[in-house]
Amino acid sequence: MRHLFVARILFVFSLMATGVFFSGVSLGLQNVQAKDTPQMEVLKKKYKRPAAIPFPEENPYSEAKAKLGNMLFFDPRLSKSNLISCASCHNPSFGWEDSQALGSGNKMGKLGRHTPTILNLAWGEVFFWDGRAGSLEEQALGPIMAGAEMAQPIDELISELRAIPEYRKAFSVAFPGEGIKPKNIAHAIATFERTIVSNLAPFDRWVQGDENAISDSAKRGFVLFNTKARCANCHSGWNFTDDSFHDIGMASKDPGRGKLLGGKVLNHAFKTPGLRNIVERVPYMHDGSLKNLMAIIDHYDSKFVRRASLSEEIKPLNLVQKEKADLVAFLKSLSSKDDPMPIPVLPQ
Amino acid sequence: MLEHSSKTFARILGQFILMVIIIFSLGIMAQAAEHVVSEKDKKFSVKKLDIAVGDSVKIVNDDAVKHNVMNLKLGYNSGLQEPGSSSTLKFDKNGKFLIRCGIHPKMKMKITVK
Repeated sequence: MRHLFVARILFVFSLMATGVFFSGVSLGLQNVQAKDTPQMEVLKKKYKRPAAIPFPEENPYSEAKAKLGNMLFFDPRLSKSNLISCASCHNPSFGWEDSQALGSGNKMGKLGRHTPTILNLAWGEVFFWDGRAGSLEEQALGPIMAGAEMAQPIDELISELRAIPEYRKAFSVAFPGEGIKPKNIAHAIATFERTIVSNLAPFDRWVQGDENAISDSAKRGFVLFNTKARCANCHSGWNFTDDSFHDIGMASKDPGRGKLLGGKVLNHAFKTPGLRNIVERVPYMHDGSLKNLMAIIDHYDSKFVRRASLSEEIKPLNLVQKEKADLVAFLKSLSSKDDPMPIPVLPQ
Repeated sequence: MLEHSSKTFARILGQFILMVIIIFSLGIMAQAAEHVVSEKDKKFSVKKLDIAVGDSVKIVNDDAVKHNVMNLKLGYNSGLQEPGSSSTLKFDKNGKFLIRCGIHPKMKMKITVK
């Protein structure tokens, strides 16, 4: 009789313990469910990928333009030295960056800022870290002509391209009746750049409904990204950027966009980069000073410089180590396996 | 008799010339219109605006945040616009101009001047 009584007590106790365990689990992970809640579905919708690449009225897509732009992008003869192409720094092997803290230019001189990616720029608004170019077309000739970068006088470039029959032909197909001129070089390069889009990442497959696409840690990281860690306040939408400018408190004297706006507005502010394929785009920030993803999280958590120009979005986060690890797992889920980029055969 | 009529003639001619000047000036003033555009919810109240050469555009900050309107090519920079303030841009030549907020680059409008 006594054994039966004890057995019953133990049975009831184990039922209670199980109940407590499960309620503890659901309380501890209140923001993350094994199956998505309606709130999670609403949040995921904000990150739905667009259906098509937008091309502007002033420079609509054509295959001829994209193909010409592809050749020009990879052609080192666009530089004075004939050794530096756009792709030298915007290298597809490194997420279209160059894996260096700062870019290098003519005669291997160091540039002032980290090379940005060209991924997903079809959706961008303004270009360069300080946003001084209002379109990809405006941006394209900048590095080509800049003395510190490709250092190529544009008239000389036009002559060089005109001397190559296949380029003459390619320009006449892409821009009938217009010939080789700076505007067309820029339009071709910009059209090619717009075709460079990140493939589906594991994060996208999860957004589309595949529960096994990313780890639970990454799912928790996604929630933190949108809540406690405040990342989505600037890194918003499917490409994880608001295309706006913020001083995030990097210990650098670079005035950023502030220089364009007269020094009192947006001082030390730089354009919010997108976060797709961020793993491949190390090192990080406008000066390439942060070496890995955890360093970024630590920066936003507490290591930012407090100053008058600091964006009001930047506040101490008080993240615990597990939360930081979850954020890193989430950022890793934004890496797509992009198709290898074929290097074009260039004409002589 | 002759003296009297030439004085009258001179007076009438003078008044006629004055009228012509007034009408001409009114004509010029009537042609130069001021268009008012509002900034609200980090957007311009219009995405496109067609105006005439000589017209001006008054951009009013009806928003809760600061803005800063610019077009680098035109050399136009309103400076920091506090909520409630306004900034006027005059267009003296024709063309198509993209005006953006320097702080919120997604906030833009195309002005076509003819």
